[in-house]
Amino acid sequence: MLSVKQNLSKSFLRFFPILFLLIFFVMPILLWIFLNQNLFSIHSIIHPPFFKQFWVTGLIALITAVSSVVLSYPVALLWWVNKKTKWSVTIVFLVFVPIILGLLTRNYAWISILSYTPFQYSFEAVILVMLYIFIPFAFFILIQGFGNISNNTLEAAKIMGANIFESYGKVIFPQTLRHINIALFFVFANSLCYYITPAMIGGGKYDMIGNIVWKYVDKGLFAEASNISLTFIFYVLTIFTAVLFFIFRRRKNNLSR
Amino acid sequence: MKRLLYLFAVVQLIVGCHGNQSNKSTKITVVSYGGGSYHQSHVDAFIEPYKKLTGINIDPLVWNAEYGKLKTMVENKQVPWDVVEVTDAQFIRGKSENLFEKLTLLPDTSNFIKGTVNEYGVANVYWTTVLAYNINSFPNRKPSTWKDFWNVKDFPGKRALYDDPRGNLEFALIADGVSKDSLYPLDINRAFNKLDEIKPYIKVWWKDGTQPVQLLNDKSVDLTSAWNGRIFSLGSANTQIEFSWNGAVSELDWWVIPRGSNNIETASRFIVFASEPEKMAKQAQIVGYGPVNKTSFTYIPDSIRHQLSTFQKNWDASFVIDSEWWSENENAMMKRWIEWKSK
Repeated sequence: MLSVKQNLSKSFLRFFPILFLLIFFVMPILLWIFLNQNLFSIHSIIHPPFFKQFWVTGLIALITAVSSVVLSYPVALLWWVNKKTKWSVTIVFLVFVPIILGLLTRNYAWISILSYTPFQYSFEAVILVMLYIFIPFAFFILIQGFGNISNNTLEAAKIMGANIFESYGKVIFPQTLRHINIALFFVFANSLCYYITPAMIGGGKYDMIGNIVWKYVDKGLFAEASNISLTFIFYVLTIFTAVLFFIFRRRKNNLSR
Repeated sequence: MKRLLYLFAVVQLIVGCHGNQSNKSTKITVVSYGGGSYHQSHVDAFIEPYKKLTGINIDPLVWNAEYGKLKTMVENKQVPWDVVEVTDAQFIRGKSENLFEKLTLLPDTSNFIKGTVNEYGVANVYWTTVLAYNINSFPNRKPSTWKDFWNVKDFPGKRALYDDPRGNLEFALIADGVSKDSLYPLDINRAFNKLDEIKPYIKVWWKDGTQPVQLLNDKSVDLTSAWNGRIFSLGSANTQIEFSWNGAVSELDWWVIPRGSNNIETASRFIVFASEPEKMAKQAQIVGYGPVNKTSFTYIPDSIRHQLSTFQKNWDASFVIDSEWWSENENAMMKRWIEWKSK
């Protein structure tokens, strides 16, 4: 039985994020659209300017998200297996070090490292450095998921006669699935807005949406910049909402099962 | 008579500043482009001497000529800057968008290159985008024109260009056989078609002036467009890079006072001070860009004089960008440039 007070605080907690979003996200966008009425139109949604760069941006973000989760998953698993030893601290430390270095330092370091390879200023180089930036984030999200696995379930699996692969596939993996989703989502959303790294590492050949917005702002062409951003936000929001809807519906199904 | 006027301006400058000395708290903010050797040239040639002469404190800042930043500042009436250096295209656009204050004082214009003094600002230097290359990549024939830049057979190697349509469209047309005197209005389609030819050989689209020099030194690329001052300021450290003035493009930079500045008087005086031939000569020797005050050349040693954008021989080989054309077409060109690059 919930008391009235608990009920209230619960409804407030539900209401608060919505209020927050309304004030800091929905309102600015509406204001933005209102101020740029003559520029922002259905036309630019149907025929987005820089359609190609939308794809480049999405592709870079998608590759980065999937690869960084795939690559950091085994490391997170290694951390979890060694959870009670000194190794786990070493692993966390090693993953953490690159974050301490500044973004620019990392970019310049990579440019000079890549100069010894045929990949300097290439698409592959962009992906590599994006991965380098985002793997730590994916890792830290994933170890949260591993940390939540309770030993009871593992012991239960062992008692039931599951071998190591079965207990991984049926017990461990499903419990980390949620954090895999979060990591994917986090890395994807963040890498969508990157522009310094692709510009520096890719030799200016792979313009992401952020680069184009920056170019327009740089020239003082605010209206064009905001038009591109708005169209981009429209697409990203549509896709994100669809993805989130899918994830939550599945979770709900899982719960009701 | 002109000379007398000039003298008058100087006297007024000094007297005026003495008047200000009672108010030691006067402080102006001077914002110049870029950083590196270029900013240093402003500090050494203009800012420090002005401080010494007048006792007025100057806060030297650096910006990357982001027009939007200046515009927002003026429109929001939050103007902490007093003197700002803008590009020629920005000067034209800023005048039409009413972003600048009129100067309260102007230098004697008789020795200035035509069109470099205006009631809203005084030009500082002509800076030039040249064709630069690593000498080790071309031991025999050296590339010297934009035709050579486009000629990947006789001049094989990786190339770089500025990530901006400005200048590059002109270079493409020159490479396609258009004379530098009949470029404007630009034949856009022809320029982009010509750029199509060179695109597969461009390894880097560079974004700021330090990049081309570094790219050439590392041999990441063999030839590129580059700002002449960046090569000049390497001085004796430069053992690998040479460049050509043929078909190089020069642009003006202007000193302006943003509308809403609190120190219009002092700012104007600073601008006039920075336009004196000796001061400009000193700057040119640090950075290698061309002073717009022709008298400056008498203060510059021969060895340096011939390396400047406004030295007659270089001036004749290169051309000046049509900023009027660019300020009208920049937006459309930018859009097409981004789309073209990702094609």
